[in-house]
Amino acid sequence: MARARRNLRVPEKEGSNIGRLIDRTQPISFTFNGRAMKGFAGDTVASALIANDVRRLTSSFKYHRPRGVLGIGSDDPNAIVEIGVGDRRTPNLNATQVLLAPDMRIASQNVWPSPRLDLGGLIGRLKPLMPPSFQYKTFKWPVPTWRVYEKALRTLGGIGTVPGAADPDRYEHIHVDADVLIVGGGLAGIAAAEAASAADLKVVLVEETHRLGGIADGYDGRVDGKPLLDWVQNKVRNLAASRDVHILTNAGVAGLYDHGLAIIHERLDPNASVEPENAPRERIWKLRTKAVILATGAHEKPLVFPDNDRPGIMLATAARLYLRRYGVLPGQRVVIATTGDEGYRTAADLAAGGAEIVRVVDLRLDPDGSLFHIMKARGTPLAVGSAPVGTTKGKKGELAGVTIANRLTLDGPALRSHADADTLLVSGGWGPAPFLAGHLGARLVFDEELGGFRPGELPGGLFVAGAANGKFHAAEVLEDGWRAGSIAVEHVLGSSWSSVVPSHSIEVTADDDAEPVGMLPDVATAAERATAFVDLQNDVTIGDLDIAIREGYSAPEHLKRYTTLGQGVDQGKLAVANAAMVMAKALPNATPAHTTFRPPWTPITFGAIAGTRRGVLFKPVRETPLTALTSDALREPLGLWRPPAVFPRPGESREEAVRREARSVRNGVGLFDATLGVKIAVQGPDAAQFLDRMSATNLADLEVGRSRFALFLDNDGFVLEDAVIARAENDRFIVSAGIGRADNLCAWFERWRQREWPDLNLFITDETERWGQLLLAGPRVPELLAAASSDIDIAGFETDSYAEGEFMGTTARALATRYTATPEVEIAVPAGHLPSLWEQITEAGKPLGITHFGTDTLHRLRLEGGAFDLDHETDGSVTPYDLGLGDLVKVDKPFFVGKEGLERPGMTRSSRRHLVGVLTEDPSFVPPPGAHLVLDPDHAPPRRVVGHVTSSGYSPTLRRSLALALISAGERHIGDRVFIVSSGEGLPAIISSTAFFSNGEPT
Amino acid sequence: MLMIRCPVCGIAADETEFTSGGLYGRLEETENRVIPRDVVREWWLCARGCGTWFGMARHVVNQRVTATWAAGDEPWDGRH
Repeated sequence: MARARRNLRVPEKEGSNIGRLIDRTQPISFTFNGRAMKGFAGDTVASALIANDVRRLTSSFKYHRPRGVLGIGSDDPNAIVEIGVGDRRTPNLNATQVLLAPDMRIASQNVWPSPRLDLGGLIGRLKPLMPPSFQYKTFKWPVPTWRVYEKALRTLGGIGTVPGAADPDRYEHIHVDADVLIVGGGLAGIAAAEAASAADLKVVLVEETHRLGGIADGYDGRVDGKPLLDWVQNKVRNLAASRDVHILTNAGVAGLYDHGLAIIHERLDPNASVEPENAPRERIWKLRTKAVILATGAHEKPLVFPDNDRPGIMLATAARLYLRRYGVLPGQRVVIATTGDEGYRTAADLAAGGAEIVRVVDLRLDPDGSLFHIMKARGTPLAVGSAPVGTTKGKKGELAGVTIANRLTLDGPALRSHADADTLLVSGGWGPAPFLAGHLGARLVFDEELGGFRPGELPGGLFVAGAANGKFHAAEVLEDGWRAGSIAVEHVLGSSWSSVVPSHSIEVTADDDAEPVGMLPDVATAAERATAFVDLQNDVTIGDLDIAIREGYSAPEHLKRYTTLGQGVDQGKLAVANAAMVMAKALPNATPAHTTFRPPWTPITFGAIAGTRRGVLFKPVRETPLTALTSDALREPLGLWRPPAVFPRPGESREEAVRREARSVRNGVGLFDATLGVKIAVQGPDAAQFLDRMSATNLADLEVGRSRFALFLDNDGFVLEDAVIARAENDRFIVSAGIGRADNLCAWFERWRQREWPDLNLFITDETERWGQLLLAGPRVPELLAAASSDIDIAGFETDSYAEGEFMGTTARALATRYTATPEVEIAVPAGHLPSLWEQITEAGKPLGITHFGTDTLHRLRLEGGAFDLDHETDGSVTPYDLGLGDLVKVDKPFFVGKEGLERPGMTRSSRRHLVGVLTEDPSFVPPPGAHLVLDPDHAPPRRVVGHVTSSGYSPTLRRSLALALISAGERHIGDRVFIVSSGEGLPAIISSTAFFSNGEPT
Repeated sequence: MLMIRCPVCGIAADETEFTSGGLYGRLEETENRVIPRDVVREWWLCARGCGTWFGMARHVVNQRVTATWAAGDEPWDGRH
């Protein structure tokens, strides 16, 4: 039976600050793991759950230990929940950062099948069997069982579940320029923003919570005679009213990048009713500024001792803030363990809020701060010079008591005492959090006295202020914020800027220094170290760090990967400083260092990353002038284009349509939309020389009105592009190449023209989209063209002819080619004239049985013709000789691009793979492209692979399958037998030449 | 993410609007050159703008762009 849940909400008190952010007149209903609960408007999910006495919020990632709320910000490693239902279910949200909304449905993560019966919890008992990196050590052999492990691991591991359907919400990206970015809206950030706006700079102030002021509301005192909180609120109002300052709340800086770019992830408040209905849910800001100020504050360090992870253990300042802001107590019987004065401040608050302070455990031997003396005078039970060294748990794994030991006689059992408590509040002092500086390459410096990292040398334009800079008292923080703001102003203006530092009379109690401590007890056994957690999100204990160090993984980057320290949703925000302190003790000669901080510093959703680039906007489809006229086609993606693949008739499969179209072309005439074929004009007095240098093929002697197939090589001598070069006039060439290759080819030409031969006089123009183009193929093409009105002698066109003139009433270019082993003519007309030409030719071709065909059929026809296709047969490591196209290389040219590379000895090695044909012995078997070829299929694996299939298909004309393959020394093995490995079997085939079909006849 | 201003068309834009093209100079002059931890001169293409290759001096550690120039102009490092 579940225990009765207590109400931990403190009743309203007149005149007190308790619960000042909640509106008790507005109750909110929500559910947690299906259980109905109540909170108030203004609550965060975390505060509402604490108020409802939810101790166990989730289970830890690896050992499934019960965990509760530890902190109050994005640094909390435990409070990770899923919120929402169905398509709007969002995993990995930090309960401390999400405002409670009516009817919210909140669920635990890492619990299966339910939090009350978390079977994964059994794993925790196996902890001794799971050292760091156990998955690499354990699940290696035998190989086939990995599949079994994987399935089980994926059910238990992983964080959160992914919704099954498309995200119904809208996300957007926004690009903004400003002068100064200030990260963090606490006292330092506010002061820095004031300074920058005083210089009339454009400031963006980014705050990851929903309100400015940082943790100033956790402190009492007066500034300029006003209560601290009122003073801060007044400053915030002034900033918000300033036209130069843009304040973003609920916005996390995911990353800082070079040249002042920041990526900011803004979560729009789902409760705000002012937004229009289709307003985005989240926004990515791509902000460019000239200066960045990190006012990111500090993290209160947890204490590291055995079983320091139980629900009921919370950071001391977090507990105080939960009470002040939301009027909730973390529990009723409270032990506080502190290394500084923060614990006393919290003790005073919690006592006033009605909690019983069982004991304040001060780790210092001789505390002397004013807060200590006040609490001592009040009779608060104190244990000075002591430390928590263990905890006991209740039935549900929640905290039930704390073991306390005197620090001077640590292992003396007589000096250990036990205190029953439902809550343990810990404060290990403050660790500055300037970690975003790491995104710009800064290395932070570990300060042993502070027990934390301080900003070291910073890149230009980056400044750190306030607690992030190691300043913790309100007066210091305000001054440091203003200082950083002023330096940023000077950086932006490039000149000195005299500003008067505002003087404030600040009466806020100053703290005595906190003592940095590592593992507790100071002399701990291996068993104690094995349950003392340093990174709660990844379940990394001191014992794990010990093992990693022992096994040689002591460098921070190794340690991180070996133990997973500092990974995950929280990026180890609370773990960094403690791990460094522990490492400092374990390796006294090494300087503690942090790992490389990488974006995202705070989590960012995939929806936000995608923004509006989804659905039809992900890759906008480009259309040719014939798209409307080819609506009966089945299309295939080709870059951003969707050319027709085939034109299937009703009831026809894709393959059946290919065979019908291919047969029709072979027997009569086919019509293809070749608009995507590259058309580049190269013109000028040096055009011929330019192309001759670019191409391995000889082009200098090409006559006007003729065309030639040419190869273009990269610097290493491998085939990069192929094209048909036509000489339209003496100084003008038209380069035609395969569909979709225009951008690459043009860029390659321009690179050489501009960078290597700026002295050559020519222009290169990509005319691909200006000219619509048709391809007519088949034996009856001449017959069809004979009837067309044209001043080009197009009917008598020989292969490799090129002409420009009038065709069927419009300006046209015509080129005769023969890739498909049948007469082909390409006719290009201005793009706008293409639809009518398509219709006219379709009409005129009817008596000849003209067929529209698409890219699938074109590939099949080219395969029959034995023609190679760049996308299939070449991969950047194929030479012209490999393709059997050595004739196209003019080796005695003094220069062409790739000549030197091609002349290297290895490029003509006899064992290189050659492009050959492969004819299967079973003519109906079509080998899949990519299939490996072996000589001996019965050889035990691994078998020597002699090559692979590059293209294949069934030829309806030859009534058998055809394939092209790259085979080692293939040219010398024509007629030999190889075996195609497919589904584990070796199927026999004969190596042939690629000339399957020529002059309309099978060969 | 660098912010680059094309010296030919004057457009200032994100690095992703440009294409980097190796060390500045003709191919045979730049092959096998060791890159120092200092300012290097590189080719960049105004790929989404005017389509022109230009020269740029960039510090490879702090990523500062110290100079840009049109091909044919005298290359420099932006140092006086």
